[in-house]
Amino acid sequence: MRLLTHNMLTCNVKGVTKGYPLKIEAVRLEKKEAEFNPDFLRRIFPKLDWKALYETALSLDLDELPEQAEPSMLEDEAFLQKLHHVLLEVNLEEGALVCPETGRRFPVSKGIPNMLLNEDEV
Amino acid sequence: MDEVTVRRSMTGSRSGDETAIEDEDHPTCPDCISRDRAPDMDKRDTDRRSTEEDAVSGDEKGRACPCATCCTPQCDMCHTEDSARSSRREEAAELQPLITPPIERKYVHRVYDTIAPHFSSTRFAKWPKVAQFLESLPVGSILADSGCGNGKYLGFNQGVFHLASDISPRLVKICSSRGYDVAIADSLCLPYRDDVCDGAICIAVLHHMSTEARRRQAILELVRVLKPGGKALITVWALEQEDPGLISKWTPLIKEEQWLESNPEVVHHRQYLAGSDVRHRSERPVIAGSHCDKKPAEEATAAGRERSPRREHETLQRGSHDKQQGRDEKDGKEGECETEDMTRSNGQRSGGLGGEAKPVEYFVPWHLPYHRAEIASALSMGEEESLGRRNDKKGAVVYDRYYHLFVKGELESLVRQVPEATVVDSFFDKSNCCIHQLDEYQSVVKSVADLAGAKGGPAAYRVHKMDQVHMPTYQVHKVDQVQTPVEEEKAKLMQKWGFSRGVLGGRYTC
Repeated sequence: MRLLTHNMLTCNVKGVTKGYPLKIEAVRLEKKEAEFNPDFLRRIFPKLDWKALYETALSLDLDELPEQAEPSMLEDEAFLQKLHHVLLEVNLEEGALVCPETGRRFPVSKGIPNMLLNEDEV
Repeated sequence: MDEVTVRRSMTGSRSGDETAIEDEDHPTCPDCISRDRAPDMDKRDTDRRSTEEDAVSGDEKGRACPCATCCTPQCDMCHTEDSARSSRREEAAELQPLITPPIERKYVHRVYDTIAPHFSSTRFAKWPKVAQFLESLPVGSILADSGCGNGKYLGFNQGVFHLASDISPRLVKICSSRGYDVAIADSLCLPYRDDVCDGAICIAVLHHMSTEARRRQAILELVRVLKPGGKALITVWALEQEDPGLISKWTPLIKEEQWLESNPEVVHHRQYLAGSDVRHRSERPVIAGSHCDKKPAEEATAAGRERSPRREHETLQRGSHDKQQGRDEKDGKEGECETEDMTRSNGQRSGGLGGEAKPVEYFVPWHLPYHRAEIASALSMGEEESLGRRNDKKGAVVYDRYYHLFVKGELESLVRQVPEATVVDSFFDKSNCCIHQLDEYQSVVKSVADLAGAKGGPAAYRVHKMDQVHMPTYQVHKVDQVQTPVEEEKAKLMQKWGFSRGVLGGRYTC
């Protein structure tokens, strides 16, 4: 699971209002090369929750990203490369996603997050 | 195949969750179901319920299968059914559309998990309408694929980022093995934040949901994750098929066969529908005439929910999405239902579907050949525990999949119940394309029937026909399920479209 996916995922347990962003408990991260596409990154950028991305990356010891990001940075190739790496090449293979409000753990196994809820959670 | 394109409206207040549809006067809102059903259920199920209360410990109540809490997506635990837990689940499912009813748990989720590799090997042809929709998304778009199955659309537009999910862990594993990011999630409760997707697709998923509240909830979720102005494409199987032989191969849920009568999931589902019939007419399936006078439960169900073309057409003409007007529309529908009910109880049928109401709920068989590797565990099981039935004549284990087929206009009217969604396009495609795709003209006739109502006739007919002429590849989709004897004709068409036997795994039938 890439961090771009993580940036969109939220805890969907009923009643939870601050289920985003999910904290990552990483057991194993893997780097998988992906094709660099600056155009894709520029268009994805406005859809990102930057704070969530920055903090998540930091929690995984990926300190390439600036705390604040402006659209003007998208002209900077070096910035785009870093963004590309963090968003699309870092994969969470084993671990869990944890709801910041309730602590509910969503296991991630072989890169697949299991976001199914129990009946008392829907 | 009925399809609609939905656009999330740019304006209007955002409500974000299911409370958005719980209008006080909404005829089938989840609240009403629970509130209104309670007295009936109390009366009917007093005995069953009291034994269950004893059997279930407090902390087990309302708990789902343990799969969600375990670490492996391929968990076998989710297939273990504890009877007490199961019966709690049955009750809960009646009250909460987000809880999977037993009939779907067994005849959709478990079956797809079981047949996943074989199913996936038959899923590669892209339907042109879906392909067109995907191609229309610009680079950098985010697309939700709700119920992505084996992920055949995931790599289609390389510039699009997919948020794909499916409830079957084994199908998700197949997607993942192809390098896609996929989550195990329920289409009725997507794990994504609001307003993030430029597009969404939900292909051949809604017809596996057994109540209207659940089908609507799935659309609601699609619209929730769409950004304002985003578009979703939804496709479902249609009831209206020209080939009468096709549906006749399927088992209507109302059929009086011993294996159906003794099937607890089916019995429960019938009870649910019968119960909800008392006040919630839209939950009812259409029942064939020969079965409607047999049992009280069926009789109630037999009141039917078939919508005549005339009525659908009216609904389409009232294409307003203003909230107040939408409410008026619902009131109007309720009134029409009353009228239909009275008509129906007098034993008359509307001539909507060729003069006779057809059942809308079926078990559609999936034949898993004996030589498939995944069959081993099924064959080693006893009849009791096995999901499938052996059919030595066909050399396959037969798995039943639950389908709610959509009547004309049903999908559009469902979308219209969802706040913030408008139908921007609606068309009729070949019924699941490929089950009886060989006669091109048959499906064209069908297109006329549907499009005439939606778009005004001949022009739409020509457009649709052109699609078929220029994009014939979609007609070979799902060839493994074809059960017609016209092998020669098929082979000819396959050759014409450039498909070899090798591509299809050497089998056109199963």
